Formats: sequence, structure tokens, C-alpha cells
Amino acid sequence: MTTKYGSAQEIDQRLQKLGRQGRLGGKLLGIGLLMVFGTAILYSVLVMLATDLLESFGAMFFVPVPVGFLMIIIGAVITSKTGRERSQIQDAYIPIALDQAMDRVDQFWGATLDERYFKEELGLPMFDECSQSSYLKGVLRGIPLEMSCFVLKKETTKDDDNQPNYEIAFSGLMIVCRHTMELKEEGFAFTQFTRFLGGMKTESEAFNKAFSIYAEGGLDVFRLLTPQYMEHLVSLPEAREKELGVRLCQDGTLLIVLEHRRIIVDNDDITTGSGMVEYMADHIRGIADTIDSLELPIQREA
Amino acid sequence: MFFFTFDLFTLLIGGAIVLAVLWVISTINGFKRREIKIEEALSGIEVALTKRYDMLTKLLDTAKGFMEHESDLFSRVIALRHGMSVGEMGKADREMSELTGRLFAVAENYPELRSSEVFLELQRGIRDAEEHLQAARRLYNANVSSYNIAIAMFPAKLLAKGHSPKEFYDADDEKRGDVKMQF
Repeated sequence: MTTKYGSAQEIDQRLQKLGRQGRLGGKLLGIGLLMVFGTAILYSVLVMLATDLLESFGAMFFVPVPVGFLMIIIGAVITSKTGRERSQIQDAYIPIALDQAMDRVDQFWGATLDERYFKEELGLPMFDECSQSSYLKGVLRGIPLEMSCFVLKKETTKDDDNQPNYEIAFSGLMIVCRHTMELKEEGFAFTQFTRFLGGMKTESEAFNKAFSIYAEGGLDVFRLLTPQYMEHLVSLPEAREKELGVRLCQDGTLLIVLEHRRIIVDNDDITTGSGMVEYMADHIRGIADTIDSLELPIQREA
Repeated sequence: MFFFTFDLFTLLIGGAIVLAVLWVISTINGFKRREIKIEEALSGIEVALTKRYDMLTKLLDTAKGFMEHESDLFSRVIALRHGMSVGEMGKADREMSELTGRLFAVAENYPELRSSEVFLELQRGIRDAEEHLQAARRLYNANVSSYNIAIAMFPAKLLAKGHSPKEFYDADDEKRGDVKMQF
């Protein structure tokens, strides 16, 4: 695999070097923090207990603190630099990883999901700003879909320049595809991100506890949520971690939200280009596994 | 001082009365809303039963041409009319289930019928209708459960005079009985 950063061998060597530098930066950061805070704690204890010792050795405490701060700064700079370079190398490998994991890639980056999807009744929090990243459109294991990582932010305060400050209300991955159910009523959703006031209840207490259902009618809900299917949903790892939201819209759109999930991930312990590609591809296949495990009525390519 | 205390007391009493009135209105409306949902769900069962009935009628008509000797299958009369009670619907549901089961069992002896496109299409249609009916039953029972709980819980039950618990829809699958295969 040759990219703009050189041949595979050159990149592997570069990654290994970055790995070593990253570990060094991390160690410097850690030791620096230990020196600064350890000195501060020790100083405080001596102030409380033994003033005579402090008089003899007090000056020595002023050595580790600046050294510690220096190590923190150097460690942070090294970690940041290696992280940036590693990220650039990873960007070059993303198309390769996507080609491996997906049946077809129509678009990566350069677009975003329609923001109205985030305002659908999925139990997502109200937000003032929605930022998306890693937009991907294509076919994954026979399913034509679009997906994007997103972060919903709420405005908290305004600073002195009247610029808004935001806090993160929610982050995750939204997958948009098509379902095959013919809905007789308006769409419905079952989600773990909120409890709908007056939400529908099923016969399964475990399901009612794990999920909240939003539906205008109810017939379509019971057509999909059979007792066996509810039992299956409740047993999923995503359901146990309360990270799942699903909405079936009347126009045939299916929205799946997985909290805290990302499309592109990295592992600093990987020091080869091929390992990086495999790791990313495996993660995307993991998203496909999750979609399959939901056993939703999803439209697939013929 | 006395007048200040009197005003505060009046305000508190007034506030409590307003809250109580709002609670009464909300509770009574809640009962009514649930009753309407039950009626809607019952109507949904009626629609599903009618759909199944229509499919079964078409299936019987198709099968008649092949199974002329199975007269007892075609002589069954199942009553289905608009505005049936829950019990009557349950009875019609059970009768249709029994007839469908017997028809499919007897159809096993007629390979020409079983492989005909029309029969297969109608068989799929009946399965779809049964799924629809199953969902409609569960929706109705969920709404009935919600209503029955609402009128039984304190203090709402103080306002529930004149509201009696609704009957659940009982398809009672056990009473379908075994389908005897005749060879």
C-alpha cells in the first residue's frame, strides 16, 4: 500500500517512530504531572505538620515544580505533534479501509446528513448546534445507507465578546437507510435516550424498562415489536449500555442512532499501515454487525 | 398583620382548589382518552378480522375447484358483522383460525392446489392478515390494561365511578384444537 507518505515499509517505520515518540511524550507528561502535584501535596503536608523541616528543606521544593511544568509542556507538545502526524497518515489509509469493509463507497466526507433527521422523534436532546463529521454514503453488507458521526451542542452562556459557549449534549453515529415495513400509521420510534411522557407500553416489562416508545397509533409498533423480537432487542449489548435509538418513518426512512459510536477509529498501539487499515475496516464491519444484530426490516440491494 | 396572614391563607386555599380542579379535569379527560383509544383499537381488530375473513373466503373459493368432496369445509358459516362485541369477535377469530388450520391441513392432500400461484398468494395474504390481527389484539389489550390500571389506582379511582374495567381480547389459541391430518 503506497500513499503520499511513501511506501508501506516507510510508513510502518514512521508509525513505529511516532509510537515511540508518543510513548515518550506520554511518559514526560505523566512524570511532569507527578512532580508538580506530588511536590504540592508534600509541601502542603509539611506545612501542616513540620514547620522546622520546611525551614531546612523548603527551597528544594522550588526545583521539581518548574522542572515538572517543563516536562508537562514538552510532553504535551510531543504527544500533540505525534497525534497530528499519525492522524494524517490514518487519513491516507481511510479510503483503503473503506474499500475493504464496504461493498461500495459513493462518498466519504464532503457532505452531511440532513439536519431534520436529528429533529425527528428519537429522544435526542434539544440542541442549538449540530456538527457532523466522517460522512459516509455507500453500500454496507448489501444495505444502501448514509451515516455520519455527530455532536449535538447546547448553548450555555455567552462570554465577554458575546460569543456563545456550548456544552455537548449528545454524541454518536446516525445511520440512515430504508425499511421495508408498510406503515399504516405515522412513523414510530423506540429509544433509550429519553422517556417519552405517555409513551406506549408493551407486555414486556423488560422492554418497557429498557426502551421508551413514541407512536401516534400503535398498530405498527406491535407489528414490529413481537414478544420474541423485544426479547432479542433487550439482550443486545447496545441495549444493555443504553446506547440505541431507532425510528421508522412513514416515508420509508429508517434512522438508527448509536450513542458514542464513531466510524473511523484508531489504536495507538498499532504501528503498521496494514494493521491500521485492518483495524479501521474491522470497526466498520462491527457497525455492520450491529445493524444486522438489530434484525430490523431493512431494504437491501438485490 | 392579620390581613396579610388572611390573604396568604386565601391564596393558598385558592391555589389548592385550582390545582384540585385541574387534576380532576385532567383525570377525567385521561379516562376518556383511554376509552377512545380502546374503541380505536377495537375498530382495528374489526378491520383485521374483516381482512382475514375476505382472504379466507377467497381461499375457500379457490380451493372449492380442487376439493369438491370436502363439503364439510365449505359448509361452515362464520358470522362477521360490524359492531360486534369483544367476545363475539374472539369467537369469530377462533372459528376462522380453526377453519384456516383445517383448510391448510386438508390442502396437503392436493398438490395441484398447493402449488397454484393463486393459492400461494392467498396463503401469504392470510399470514399477513394474521400478523395484522395479532398486532391489533395486542394493541387493544395494551390500551385496555392502561385503562383498567388508571381507573383502579388511587386517588384517580375516586373519580372512576361509572367506569368499569374493560374486557381483554382473548383469542385463546389453546381452544383451536389439534388439526387432524387425514390420509
